[in-house]
Amino acid sequence: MNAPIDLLSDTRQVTVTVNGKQQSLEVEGRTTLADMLRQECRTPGVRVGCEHGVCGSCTILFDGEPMRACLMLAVQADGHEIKTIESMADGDKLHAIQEAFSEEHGLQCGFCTAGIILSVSELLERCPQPSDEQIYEVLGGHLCRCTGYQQILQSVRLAADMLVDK
Amino acid sequence: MKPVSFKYLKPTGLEEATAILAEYGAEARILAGGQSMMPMLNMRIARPSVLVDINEIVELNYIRASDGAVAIGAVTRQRRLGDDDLIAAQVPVLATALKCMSHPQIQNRGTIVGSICHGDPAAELPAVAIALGAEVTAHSQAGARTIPVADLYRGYYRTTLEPNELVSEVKFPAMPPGCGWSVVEISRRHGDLALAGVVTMIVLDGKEIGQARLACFGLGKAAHRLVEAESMLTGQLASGDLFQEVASIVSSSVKPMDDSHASAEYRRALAAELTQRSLSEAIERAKQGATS
Amino acid sequence: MSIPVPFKSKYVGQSVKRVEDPVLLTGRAPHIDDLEFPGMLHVAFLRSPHAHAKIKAIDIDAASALAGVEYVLTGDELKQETRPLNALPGVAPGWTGYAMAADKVRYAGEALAAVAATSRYIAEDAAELIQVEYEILDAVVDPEEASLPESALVYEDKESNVLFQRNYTYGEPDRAMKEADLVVRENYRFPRVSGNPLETVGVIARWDSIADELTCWTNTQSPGGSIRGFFVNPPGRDQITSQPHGGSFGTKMGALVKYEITAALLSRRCEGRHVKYIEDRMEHLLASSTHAWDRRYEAEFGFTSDGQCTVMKVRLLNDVGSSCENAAPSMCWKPLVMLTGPYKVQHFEYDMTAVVTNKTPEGAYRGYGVPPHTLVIERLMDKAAVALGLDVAEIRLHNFIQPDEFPYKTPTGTDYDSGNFPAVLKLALEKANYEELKAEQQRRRDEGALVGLSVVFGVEPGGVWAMTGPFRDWLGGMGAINPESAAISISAEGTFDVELFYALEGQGQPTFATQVIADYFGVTMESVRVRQSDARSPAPSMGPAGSRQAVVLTFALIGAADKLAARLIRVASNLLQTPVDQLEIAESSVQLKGGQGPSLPLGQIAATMTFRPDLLPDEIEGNPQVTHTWRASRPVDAEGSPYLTYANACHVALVEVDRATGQTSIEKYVIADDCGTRLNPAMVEGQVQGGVAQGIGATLFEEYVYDEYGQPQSVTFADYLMPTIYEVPMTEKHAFVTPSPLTPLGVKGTGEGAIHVTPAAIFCAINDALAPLGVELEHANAKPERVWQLIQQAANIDGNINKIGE
Repeated sequence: MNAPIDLLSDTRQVTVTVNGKQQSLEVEGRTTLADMLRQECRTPGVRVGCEHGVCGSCTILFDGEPMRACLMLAVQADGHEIKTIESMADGDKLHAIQEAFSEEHGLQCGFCTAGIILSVSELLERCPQPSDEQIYEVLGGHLCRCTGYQQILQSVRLAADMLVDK
Repeated sequence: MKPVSFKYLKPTGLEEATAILAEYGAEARILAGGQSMMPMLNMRIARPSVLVDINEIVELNYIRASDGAVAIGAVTRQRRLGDDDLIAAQVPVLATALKCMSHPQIQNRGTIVGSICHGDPAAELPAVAIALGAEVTAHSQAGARTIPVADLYRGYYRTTLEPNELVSEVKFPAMPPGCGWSVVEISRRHGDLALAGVVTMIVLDGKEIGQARLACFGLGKAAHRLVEAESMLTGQLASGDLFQEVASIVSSSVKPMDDSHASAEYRRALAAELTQRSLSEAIERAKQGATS
Repeated sequence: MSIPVPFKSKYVGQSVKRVEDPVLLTGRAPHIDDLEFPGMLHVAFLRSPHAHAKIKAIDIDAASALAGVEYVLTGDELKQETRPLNALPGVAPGWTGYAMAADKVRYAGEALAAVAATSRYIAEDAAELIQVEYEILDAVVDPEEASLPESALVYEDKESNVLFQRNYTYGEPDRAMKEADLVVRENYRFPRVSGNPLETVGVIARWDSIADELTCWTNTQSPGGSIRGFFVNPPGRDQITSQPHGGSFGTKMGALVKYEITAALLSRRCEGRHVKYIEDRMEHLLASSTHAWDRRYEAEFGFTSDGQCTVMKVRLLNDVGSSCENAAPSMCWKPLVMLTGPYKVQHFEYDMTAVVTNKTPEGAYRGYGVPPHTLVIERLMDKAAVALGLDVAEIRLHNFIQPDEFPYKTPTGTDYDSGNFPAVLKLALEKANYEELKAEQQRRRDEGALVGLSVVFGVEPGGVWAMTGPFRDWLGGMGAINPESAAISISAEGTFDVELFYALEGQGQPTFATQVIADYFGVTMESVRVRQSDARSPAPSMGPAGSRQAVVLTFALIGAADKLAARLIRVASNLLQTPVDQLEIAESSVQLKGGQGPSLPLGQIAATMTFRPDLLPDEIEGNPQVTHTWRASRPVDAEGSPYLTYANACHVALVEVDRATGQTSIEKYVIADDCGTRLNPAMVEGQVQGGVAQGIGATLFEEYVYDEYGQPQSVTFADYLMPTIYEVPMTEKHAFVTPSPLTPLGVKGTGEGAIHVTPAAIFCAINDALAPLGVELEHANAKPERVWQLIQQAANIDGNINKIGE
């Protein structure tokens, strides 16, 4: 049996692929994934709203699935692949989902938006023509304090149409 | 809201994990999906010296048939309950439960076994596991033992697991043919933990109720079976009067707690209502005779 | 819709995409927590676990000794260096503590020490090592008991816990009440709620002793302020700048001050290093001075037998929490600007008492006190309608200020600018199929369902240009005028740069500024770039507050555009050898009026100003850039005149209450609203829907609960329940447009209207649902158990629940 690595009061090397780029970082065992992404990986689009998994602002794609970055430790990202909002646009060209949100006014302050767009991108990949029930299921995991969700819902419907048309 | 310092250990096999637990015992906490543990760490409610991350024990990621049951490994994510064919065919009540639970972003990480071992009194899975007669397998260096989930809880967030034990899997017996089921709950918002909830499984024997299994959540210090209700139902014809009678027994037998969202008194009233709803829904499903 | 604009409108009035979206959608907006500085320190606070306690001793040795800790600042040390927080000295002097507690703590969560360390993690480790010896005192929790003589005192040097008491009487309310044919009365409670933006408040302070300058980077709504005055030894100058923020709703104003002061002092103690404090969510829920509207009302209205409301008496008891450390208790005054709502009522008594308790201090929240007031008015209108056998829509129509009565002066001296309340109400009824809804309700009621229908109305004071009552007292009778500024410059390429003087907040200001300026000069939106600057700019600005941005910014923008246009035309007049009065701006050029003859592209004129000063007329300032500061021209002549516009809206809601569980489901929600000219209709709809969501939150889900010891029970998002998409109805929205005669484009403020009206709509609908049971909900937070208890109560009165409604 291999001896487990001791991490008490020291840091650990993490190799993680963030938005397609592999990086090696030193992190403390207790550092949350959200903090590592924001501070070490230079992806501040990972917004931190509650640090207890309710608001959804820090949602990222972890091996392709939306998860809360505040409810994971940075060390757990070792060997995994992460996508954040910074990966969505192609240079200055917005992703179709981002376009749809702009078109339908699906954001106001924009703080919750990054997480929502990532959740929606996974939904539309898995299910290109989602029912409202499926859209609600995904949006239900995100709090938005500005919009009252109506224009977000419209944005997701439009995004689905735009992606199907492509 | 940042965790305390701890020693982070990441075993990659069950044996390695039990060795670690043997070494650190009560100082160690197990980190599975972390969807309950991480908030407690961030709030410093959980202050472990050693955190044993089992997520990389890939051998524990499975859903498989096992002797008339469905066995689910300790790192299998909750989300799989909604998209797995074996679950849909043999224990569809788990897919129903998933619909009441949290949100996909949480279920993508949270584990089934983790939820059962965490034992939140208001969570769905412990009650469903109890109603199904599920068992968990706990490993330590001394060996493995199985524990019926019904015997797992001994108080508010307390289990009968030893500090050196790791639950490797939960085994849900396949639901019998023709079994009707229901998971109903009242929560403040969609996806919140329940104020109260009831799980029912019924198998009809002709027109009579041949077999009934009920469990509740949010109505005591832990999820538990409603044995009295079950015996009142068994061998009886389903009727509104019977359900009402059962509901009132359930309501008076449960011992819910007070908090800022609901008083015990209100929860008892919900218990009665939910029992009736749950029985009606389960009977409907049983009459349709479909478990798949 | 015709827009009364001084230009051809191509963009104004259209739901164009927002120009600020790309930066927000790609996660690139630089929020306060995104800023990094070399050597920056991070703050964690030690907060009191007790609601009311004396601090007997505090030991910071272990904390200070922890590796990575640079400084531990106690409340005692801070007290030596600073002055008490007090935003309402003229009203309530001495009712505050300092930025941190020194001798005693007055609410659970109050900070009493701050650690600056190399990481937030270490700072939190250290804060846990601070030892405090407390002497626990009786907590003042219930606001009614707080005013009793035997109550413990939150401030021992005061005679009681009563912060202030005022009575405003208009007409002869006592006589009118005696003469009324019908008097309806009720007591109400509004829940303690707050804005809870998804981004909490944050500050980075740097006290540079060499430059004798303090800089606070923050996410305040209102940059440009100063905290120098709080320091015994102040910096030579200070500036407070603002980053784009993730929602505010009023919470990012006064709540920041205590953190700015603390971080600033820590920076000074740490040789001018940058010191960052980002409030975490639990701190926000527990201790951010943002809780609002913990109110109790006693209200009594008098009516004639035909349904005319003649008199309103409203008595307010406001629990402000432990201090008036920010201006929020002034939320008691705001209803004075819309005291009678949309109704013609000449006799009014408004009596307000504010008390301190051992709870988190009150802070501003979208609506600034109007939502509970609207709820009281609307519910009593419903009660009167029922008593008189009138339809709830009918009684409102009967009491409305009529379209030909504008401008309408209310009893408090407020001028309502314009409106057509009957038409707005009728539009809502028509779109909701009101008669059918009533029939449906009756049908379902007959089947035993608890179905409620409401038709409520509200007015929205918009465009605050002076602060209300308490600030006038404070400033010795002068209104505190809140100007707003805009700067515009034009380049040689003919593109425009617009500068606004506060940070990006989310309501869409850059977009409508772009729309307005593009239309004004006849250029494309792509030719206009808007920058929202921080406080380094010199022009006065209040930023977003009081539904004012569409109102005051259009003034500032049009004012600036007018100035720039005049300058461009004057230069063109020289170049074209044509009198100024024969020239106009159109299609990105200066041309002869009517479009005949020569024209000069605006860019060329700008280029001339920059490169050929010799061609300019002597009296012209050769600068293709202007700044305009709009200021109100009307005097502050009454208790409540400092709002310019009055948007208004009618909400129709159909709900069903579950008899067994007390849960409310909203089945239909229709809104007709009139906010004058809509610069960008999609943005207006977003404001409305967002306000609905917050109103739903307050009425059905959100509530800060304290136990009998003053222990807060709602310190996580699992306990303070903000609605998700499942809880918020997708509303039907319909526009009615009565342009304001007072604003350049006819706009009215519209940021708060929906949160004003939604609580009333839900509350009235639930009460209507419960009406067949003969019970009434008095608490405006209809959490299921409260409603269930009423249903039980009805069952007990009636003896048999099955009888009711069946």
